[in-house]
Amino acid sequence: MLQRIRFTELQLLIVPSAMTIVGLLTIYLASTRDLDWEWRDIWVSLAYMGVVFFISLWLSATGFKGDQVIFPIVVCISGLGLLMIQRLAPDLNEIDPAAYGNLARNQIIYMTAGLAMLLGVCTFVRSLGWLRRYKYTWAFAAIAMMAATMVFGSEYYGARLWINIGPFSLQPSEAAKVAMVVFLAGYLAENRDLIASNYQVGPFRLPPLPYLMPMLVMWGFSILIVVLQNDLGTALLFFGVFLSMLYLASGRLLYVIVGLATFAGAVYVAYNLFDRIGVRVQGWLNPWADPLDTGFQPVQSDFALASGKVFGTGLAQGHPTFITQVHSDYIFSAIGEELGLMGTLVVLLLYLLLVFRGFYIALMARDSFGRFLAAGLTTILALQALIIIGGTIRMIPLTGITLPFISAGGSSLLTNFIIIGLLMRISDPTVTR
Amino acid sequence: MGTFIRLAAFVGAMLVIAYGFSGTEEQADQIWLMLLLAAGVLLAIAWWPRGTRALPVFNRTILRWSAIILVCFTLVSIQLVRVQVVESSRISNRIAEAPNGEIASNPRHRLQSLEKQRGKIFDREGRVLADTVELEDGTYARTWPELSTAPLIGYYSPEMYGSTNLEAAFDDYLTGSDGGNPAEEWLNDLLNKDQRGYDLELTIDLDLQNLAAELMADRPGAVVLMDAQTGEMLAMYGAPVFDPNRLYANLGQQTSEEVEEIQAYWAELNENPNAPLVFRPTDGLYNPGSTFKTVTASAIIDSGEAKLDTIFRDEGVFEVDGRVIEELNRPDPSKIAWTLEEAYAYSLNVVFAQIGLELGSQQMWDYAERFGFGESIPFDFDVVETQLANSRSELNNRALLADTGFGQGQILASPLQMAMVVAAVLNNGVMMQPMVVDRVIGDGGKVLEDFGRDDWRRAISGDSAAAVRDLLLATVEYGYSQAAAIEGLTVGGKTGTAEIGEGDPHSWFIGFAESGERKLVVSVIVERGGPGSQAAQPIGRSLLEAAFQEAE
Repeated sequence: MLQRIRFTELQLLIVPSAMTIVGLLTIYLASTRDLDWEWRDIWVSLAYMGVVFFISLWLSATGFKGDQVIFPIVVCISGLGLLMIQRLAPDLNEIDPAAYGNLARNQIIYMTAGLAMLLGVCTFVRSLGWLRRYKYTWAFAAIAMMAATMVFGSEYYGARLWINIGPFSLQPSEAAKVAMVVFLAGYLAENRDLIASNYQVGPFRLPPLPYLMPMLVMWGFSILIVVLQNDLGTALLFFGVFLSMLYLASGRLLYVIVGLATFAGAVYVAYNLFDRIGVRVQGWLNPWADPLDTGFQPVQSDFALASGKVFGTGLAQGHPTFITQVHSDYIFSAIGEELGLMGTLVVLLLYLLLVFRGFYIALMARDSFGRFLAAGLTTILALQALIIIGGTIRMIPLTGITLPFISAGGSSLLTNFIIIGLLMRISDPTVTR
Repeated sequence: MGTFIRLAAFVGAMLVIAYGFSGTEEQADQIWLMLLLAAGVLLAIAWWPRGTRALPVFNRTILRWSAIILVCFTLVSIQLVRVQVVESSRISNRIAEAPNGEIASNPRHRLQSLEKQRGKIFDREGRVLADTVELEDGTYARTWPELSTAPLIGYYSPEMYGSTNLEAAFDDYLTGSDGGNPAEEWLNDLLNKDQRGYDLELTIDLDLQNLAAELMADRPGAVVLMDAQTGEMLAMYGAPVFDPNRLYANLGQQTSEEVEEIQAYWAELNENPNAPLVFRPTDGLYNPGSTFKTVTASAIIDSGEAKLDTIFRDEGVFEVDGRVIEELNRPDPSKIAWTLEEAYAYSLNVVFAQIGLELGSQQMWDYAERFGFGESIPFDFDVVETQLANSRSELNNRALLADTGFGQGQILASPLQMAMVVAAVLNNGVMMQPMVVDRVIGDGGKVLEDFGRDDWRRAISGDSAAAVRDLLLATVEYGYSQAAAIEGLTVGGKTGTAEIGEGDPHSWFIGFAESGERKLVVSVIVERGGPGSQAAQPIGRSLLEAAFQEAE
């Protein structure tokens, strides 16, 4: 019995426990400006850590043998997200109660639901085989979800990302990205020999057509996302994940470079054709020329990050709510203002640890499908973090995708926790195929 | 790849980044983004996984893919360092103009000035010199009700032009971030409490300050009135004054027209040939003219080379190394033998030129140094350095040394510096540290800091100081400053007339008045005011008289 207890995980969980509890306490003290507090004032963190420890103990109890490091890392990142949302929600609520009234509550619900999904995947997905078997179903599901968004989606802030079903609004691209990775992992695992070969036509060695075709399909699909949904972030994420998985399976860097270059060219042409280049590129390269209108958000984000300096103002002591999308697109700037360079670098380091652990799981997986799946899922998280952070600090144009585990947003949280659940499942050496 | 190539690539990447930090303007400057990309390629070369050829395809590619992701995260970190550290001040203080003419600046600055109620500044009687008033909307604004003390206090315009003098030097106290209980300050910071700034109580007497302003009547110049035994400043006035209220910017509350007005006023102040932004009492550097004879006399007496009745010759003309010094000050041109006391009282240039030569450049320099020449006097805010001559070696020129002896030459003194000379003479040869901020007052009138009256240094011996004091007294008694006498007070003084090129000379007066234990020193300069006895001396006399009348 004792060997089954996940000691490494339990010990590592001490770090996020201390962080979320002390963090929320400082937020509470700074907002009430008084030293009096009771335990129930920080119930959110206590509940969060309660759920987390319950999951860890449950996994121990059920004899789960999977990786013990990745879960504490994720708990740390999402704990930071929890703190940021708890800290931002009251201020945002003051600005616009109709829009942000339920922000804090929803975040707790989504996070709990996400953790439950993680536990569910770890507990009930006994075999990865069915994922592989139905790969074309997943591919179809992914395309159907994206297509539905393009047709029925509603537009927010100029991007068509959401589908409203009753009181809920879903972001199908979040689920679609996982479905796509599952399909690709299955497809590549099955056809890797074919893919690695070449066609000889006279003196030329041509790339193998079987992976030129999906590449072309993917390429066209991603461009469609840009054109129809005006969603460069999702397109970049899909295409980037696709290219990296192709590279991981084939080992040909050249195609990645060609793919990226043609994609960039096509996006450039598309933006020129559709006359959207103005706002986005202006907001990226030169927001200071129009600091009150099109450049408002980037300029405010610059102010926030620069005001944070090395150590930040401290939680709940800065003014990140000058940025209007601070709870989603620009949450990284809020971290930069209140926790400073130290905070932002720690966030980067946590993502890096998460990504490397994910790749480690991929390396240790026993079959190709597990390897490709783990590598692909990890790449989703890596690229998503890089794309949104790069946009926030104006290295690339800003795109409206979420910062994994930190930004507010149900679809994204649920999906990302499922990804972690899958990674943990893959890492379990006893899993049946 | 060889270790050397990796090392070279890494060093290359660092150089590219370093060049980018210094050579490009902004975080999204296209050249900078290109440099980042180049640094990324170099880093990828440096960190490319070794010995992967033998591995299976997937193991090889995932190691390489990890290296690429590591490079991407590193580039993001570099950009963060640029935004949050290297350029953080520039970005957070950046002010941009929108196409419609509105100004966009960091709203945090406004909030900080709104949240923190900056401490007030009072004169010694508790009259308000700088105030923080609460506006109707619950925010705060800083005002300076007294113009005469405004240049001393300095301007405070954190969003546009920064701050100066007391507003700058005592900022930590005025914002309440220093001076109180450290544990309490830490707790307040943790709890994000609105900190009320601490108040400053000055040694300035507003009545005397206003009188100084009235007497100067808008002529450029300066007045320093100090207590010789404590170093306290009773009046410290420089003209022309500026109005800090017109430089105070509270962006976000002001319309763009108001901001333009502030900018226009700033431009006007900077273009004004009379430089109102220079605080003359400490930062105005002038040739001290004959007032400097006090230093020369102190040196010759303290070195033991002359006494008050030592006889010097003055035949009306004196030549040294081709430089001819003509005596214009003798009351009786037929008399050629003068005691030191008479020479000082009648301000005989020929005698003091000889004394300068007798002292030699070495002693001249040493004594000037002991009075504070050649350094910046320790004060509540940084003041400029005074000087005896451009350099020590230049003073070896005998003509210059002779000129220096009677106060011309290359000497540059501030009004504060000359007040310190007289203060040393009155205070048994010891100079006190000049001070203007008396106390820092916290919540409920609690005294957080009571600045002591500290010695600065001994300039001359007590006996020498008593002798030099007699020189100043003689000047008022029978010399050229008889008009400075005040009934009921012991008064000494010395005028100075500093010739500077064409036009009227600068008019100087240094002096003191005593009654009982109280010893006050005055130092006045009126730029282009003519002879010292005409412009500066009456101002000094009136101030001394008023200061003692008030005390009664």
